[in-house]
Amino acid sequence: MSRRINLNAINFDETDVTSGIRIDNSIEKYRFTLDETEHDHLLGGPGNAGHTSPLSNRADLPFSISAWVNLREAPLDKFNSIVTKWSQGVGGLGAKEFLFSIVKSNVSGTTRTRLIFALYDDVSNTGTQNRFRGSVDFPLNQWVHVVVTYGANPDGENDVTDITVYQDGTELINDQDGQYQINDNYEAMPAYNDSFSPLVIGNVNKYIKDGVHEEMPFRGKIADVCIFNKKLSESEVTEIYNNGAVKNMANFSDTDSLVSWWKLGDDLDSPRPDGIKNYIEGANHGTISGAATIVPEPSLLTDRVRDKNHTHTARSPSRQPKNLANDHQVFIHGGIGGDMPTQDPTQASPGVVATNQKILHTFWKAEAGAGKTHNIKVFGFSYASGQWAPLNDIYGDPIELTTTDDPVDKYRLFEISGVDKLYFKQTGDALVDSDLFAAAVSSL
Amino acid sequence: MPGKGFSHTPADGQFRNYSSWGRTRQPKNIAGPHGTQATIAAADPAGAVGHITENQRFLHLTYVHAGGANAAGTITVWGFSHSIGAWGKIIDIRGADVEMDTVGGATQSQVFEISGIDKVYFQMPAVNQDANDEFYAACSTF
Repeated sequence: MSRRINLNAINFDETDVTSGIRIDNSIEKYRFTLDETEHDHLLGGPGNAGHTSPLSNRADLPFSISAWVNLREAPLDKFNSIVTKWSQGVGGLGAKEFLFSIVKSNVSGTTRTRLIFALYDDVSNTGTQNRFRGSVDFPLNQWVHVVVTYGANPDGENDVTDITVYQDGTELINDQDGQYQINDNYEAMPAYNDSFSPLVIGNVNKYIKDGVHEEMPFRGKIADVCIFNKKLSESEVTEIYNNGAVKNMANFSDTDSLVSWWKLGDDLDSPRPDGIKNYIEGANHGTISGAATIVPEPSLLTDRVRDKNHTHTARSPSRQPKNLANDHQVFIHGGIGGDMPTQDPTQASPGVVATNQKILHTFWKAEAGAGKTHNIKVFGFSYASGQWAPLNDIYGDPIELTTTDDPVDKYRLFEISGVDKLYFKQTGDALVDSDLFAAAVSSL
Repeated sequence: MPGKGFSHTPADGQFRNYSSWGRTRQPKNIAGPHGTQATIAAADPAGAVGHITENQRFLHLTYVHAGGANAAGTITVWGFSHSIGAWGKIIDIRGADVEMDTVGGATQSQVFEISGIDKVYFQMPAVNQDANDEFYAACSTF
């Protein structure tokens, strides 16, 4: 049996505008762009009394951000924040440094959902930005790998933004129309911002408009966010994209440049304060806020494996439940397991081998919906009879799971008393791709 | 000879400590040494939370309501198996929800069959909890 793991992700719920992950002690840690005008505006920012700006004449620092995102919806002119250092409406200068986001907007009569990245010149408080907007539509309801790199233009070349954005390993073309005061000339924007905003994943720090908190939460899920202290090369972006499977960054070719890696829900992560761990330095952890939650995401592939090689070799019995799908953490419906059958088994149906164990463990998570009925029926096969038949437990009750109207999220146990093989069939209204069903067996 | 005989006090290091992974007849506290209270939270479980059961068969719960103003409530037990990788509310082999009602001003105890689930998590609304109450969880197999 392999050491495959199921990834989790963070689901951000925009009905709570504060949904996000705030990174601890991140104001200076992730400050990459600097105010080169010697204006120590940070002294005027909230929470930074007595702060001294870094030395003037220090150039911007190069950096890159990588993330896996699954955007659920994109209302017009609503930003879906991926990673930001950004505040508005809190008073004072120095509130905005960068914004990595997705927004649906109407540009010259064409409505598109675009990946954008902006560096802010916020000293003047005019909203001046160096901004990149992808020229292709951003897809919904699928996992996409996004990367932004900033090289800091070390040679001070004119007309160079030194911003590159990738989507699924492919470099995007910048598609701007002068909507903002955009300066492609690095020299003309000496005052890139020194933000006092913390780093936030899935939202901005604050966005107060007309006295109302609006913030800009992501509408969907985000997994595996990484920050690097350099401009990634195209080949490195391809390496991290990893043909669509979340890469085990411990195997990245330049781990020295990897400053932070938040797995967002995996390994030691939890909803506790500082529960979203930075697995690089043991500091700068994140705290979930608002309605953001850790969710299983079996459809998100990865080449990460569990540290311990957990190999089931015994046919039976086992105290610990053994997954019936012949691989650890694989769902019978959902994720890479695909869909559950909708027909009764035939004599030729292979089913799944139950290794003659006593207890069947089933996990079922489904959204259901008004007027919908979902049913999962379990069939058993014994070599003694050579027949498939609907399975009843030792109490005479059919082994099946049903829900009407209501969502389910349950771990149901059945006593199957050593049946040889099992077969799972769904009936009623079809389960959707995001529904999950898994089964395991044990002998206790 | 050191270490032998019924009345002889063995030298340090000559006790054999059994550290079994479950399979105990005596209920074994899953939060720590005997007398350690288990954690109850109001939120649904997610990520690396909960208590390890050592794949034991039975779950023993005891809730001591100290008689405070908090009303009696229901403790819901969630289960997690590494083979599945997700949390779900446990329903036992008889089709019953694995949950226990607390009783105001009294001690309530109940045993459930959890059939070797790897981890459990205990949930109860905050309004039903009180810092003076006590909650214990243990597992056994026989």
